Amino acid sequence: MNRANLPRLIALLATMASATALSACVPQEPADEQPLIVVDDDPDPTDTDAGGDEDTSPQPDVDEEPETVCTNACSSANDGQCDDGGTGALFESCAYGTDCADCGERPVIEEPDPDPDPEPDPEPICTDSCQYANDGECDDGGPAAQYDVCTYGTDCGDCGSRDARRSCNSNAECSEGRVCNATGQCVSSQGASSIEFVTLTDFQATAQDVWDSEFEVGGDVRSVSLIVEMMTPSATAYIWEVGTPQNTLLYDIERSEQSLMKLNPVTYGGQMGILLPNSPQYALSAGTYRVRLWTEDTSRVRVHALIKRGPLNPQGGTLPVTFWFTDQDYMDASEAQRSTAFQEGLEVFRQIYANIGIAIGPVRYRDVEGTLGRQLAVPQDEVVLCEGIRQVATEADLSGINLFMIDQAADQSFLGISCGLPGASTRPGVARAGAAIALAYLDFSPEIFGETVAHEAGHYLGLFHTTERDGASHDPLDDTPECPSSRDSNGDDFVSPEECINLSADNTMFWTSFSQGGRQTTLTPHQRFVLMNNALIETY
Amino acid sequence: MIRRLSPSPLLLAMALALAACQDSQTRPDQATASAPVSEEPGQGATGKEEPRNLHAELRALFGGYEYVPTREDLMQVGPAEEVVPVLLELYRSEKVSPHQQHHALRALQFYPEHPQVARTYEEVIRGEESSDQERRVAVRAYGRAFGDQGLELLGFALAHPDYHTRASAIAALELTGSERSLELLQARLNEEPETELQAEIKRILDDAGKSEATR
Repeated sequence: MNRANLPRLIALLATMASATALSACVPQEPADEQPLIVVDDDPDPTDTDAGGDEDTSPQPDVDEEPETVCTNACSSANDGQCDDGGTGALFESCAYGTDCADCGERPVIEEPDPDPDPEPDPEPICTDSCQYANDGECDDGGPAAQYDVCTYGTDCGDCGSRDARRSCNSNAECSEGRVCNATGQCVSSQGASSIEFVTLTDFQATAQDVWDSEFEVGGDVRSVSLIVEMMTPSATAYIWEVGTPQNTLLYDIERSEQSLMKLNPVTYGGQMGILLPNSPQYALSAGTYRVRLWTEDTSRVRVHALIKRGPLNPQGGTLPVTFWFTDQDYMDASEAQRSTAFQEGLEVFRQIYANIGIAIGPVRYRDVEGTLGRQLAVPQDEVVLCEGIRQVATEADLSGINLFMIDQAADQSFLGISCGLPGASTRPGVARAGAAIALAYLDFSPEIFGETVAHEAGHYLGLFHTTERDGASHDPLDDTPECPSSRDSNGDDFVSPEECINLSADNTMFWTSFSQGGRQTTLTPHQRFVLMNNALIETY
Repeated sequence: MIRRLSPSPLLLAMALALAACQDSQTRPDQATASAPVSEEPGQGATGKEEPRNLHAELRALFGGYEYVPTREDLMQVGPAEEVVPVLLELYRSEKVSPHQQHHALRALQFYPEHPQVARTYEEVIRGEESSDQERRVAVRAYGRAFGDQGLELLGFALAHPDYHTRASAIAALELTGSERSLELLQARLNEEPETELQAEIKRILDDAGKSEATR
């Protein structure tokens, strides 16, 4: 296929919805590969007190006059543009009511002003997000728990609040049969998941060829991750159909909107991942599954299956991560470990996944050297980027997910991008891929950077946007609120986070960041289900 | 494994069209829906119409993790005389993120007829105070906006000290693809100090030669 046409094709196909996943073996790390585990023990509490100069908080006042706020304490006050984020404001760079010269007096709003107090001790963990919460039995694997099918602290109704203080950093610090979970507590374990690797097909495809691959699923299989590997990285293939043992179609490219399974059916950089199941709406049944593949270009094609067995309702999981630093000016692998901003972003990423029981680690830092390191730093299109990522990741052959730190994408200015949805899982001898995140935007907001890392990793592991920008397309999960196009209150034809409050705007997989204020740190139980099925995550 | 006949190209086209209606995690180029009517309480128009806030609309458009705004998106926001001044303001504003600044700078490419657009790109590309990131964005956007009419400035970028500015200029000229742009690349071939960029220029020239031969 002509390389010049590829970006357009990928752009077109990127509009497709779909997802399935792959698998991943999670080989043991050799001793000399021991991760450089980052311990950010300096959550710098400086600058957290926003209420320094003018106090805009509502005063207890029994006067009947509506109270107003009017100061010019903001540094950009009186610049001809209203910046306080209130009605009619052009920007939100000032605190409410502190750009009085440009915005006028503001009525006091009885909203709890977010004034994040630095808290030395973490709050106890207490949610009821587990599917077995409030069933009369404590299921979170913590002290006195009867079962270990919920993430620690997510069966609060039955187990009560759980101590959030970290008591372990590795399994070695826990007693026999217990594991150190994502938030640092020793919990009981159902035993680790295992991966069986099978190469289903290895064939020479001609252009516009159609092939079927089949695989068997037994009753103990939790998920299957498929990897489609084009040995010519610039070659493209599509998933045409996925059929069940009952001869029904889980996915049909000609009726993708009606398909039970949502897929992104095209290869990126010559690879594609498929995850079964990628939604709790359907389960695997014992028997023979069939995947029909359509190859656009001539290439040798290999299709592999990573068959995952393990806990039906895992309490937690671990995701090894390798950060790759391309040859840019911001930081290399060594500097990143000392960079406050980078570590702050990493902590955001860690916390988002820890909230659903997934521990990020081991964390490795590597540099991408040479010509490729320079080319990938500022990729001119995503085809070049994904092919380069494949080359680096495949040669390195490390377990877990590969996250590439680039400078920027000059032609597209994205925050990040994933080479696959899901991306190919890892397996020695099989081509690998990853996601890229722009370092150019780290300093402006380490929080958004960390959310971007979590977002792109989510794509790579099989998660779709909860809501696409038009409000008409959504992920296939039932528990991620959909923000419909009717919420587009300003008629600009897309739904912004501000228009989708309480409708997944705070979800890590919303299509757009808040950009100014607002956090996206939530992942739901169904999103957790998808992630736990991915072979890249070892579950227990 | 069973070998099958190929599906027809028509079938594929249909399938792709259907799939294009779905979401994307990169950049969907599909047309946007017609202006929706707000039905949610507190979300729709109330008695008093608030004036449109182009700043807020554009900032929201520029906030996507992967989404790259299209010409259609910008046209939907408003006419050039209203949108360009706001884009320029956002690009220069320290109140928005560099990510949004870059998108604002990039989006100027959709208004090549506006007098301030070419001037702005030229200032960014030639300006010694421009950041490398801004300059690279401007080079790619300028190439898309002006193509063959912008070769002089792309030629300047082709000789810029920053490696990635030169790489961006090469990519912009490849996209332009005209005879004159190829001549510019040809003239630069032996002066380019970096072997990988030389190789990239050579690849483009070879590809162009091949497609010429095919024709």
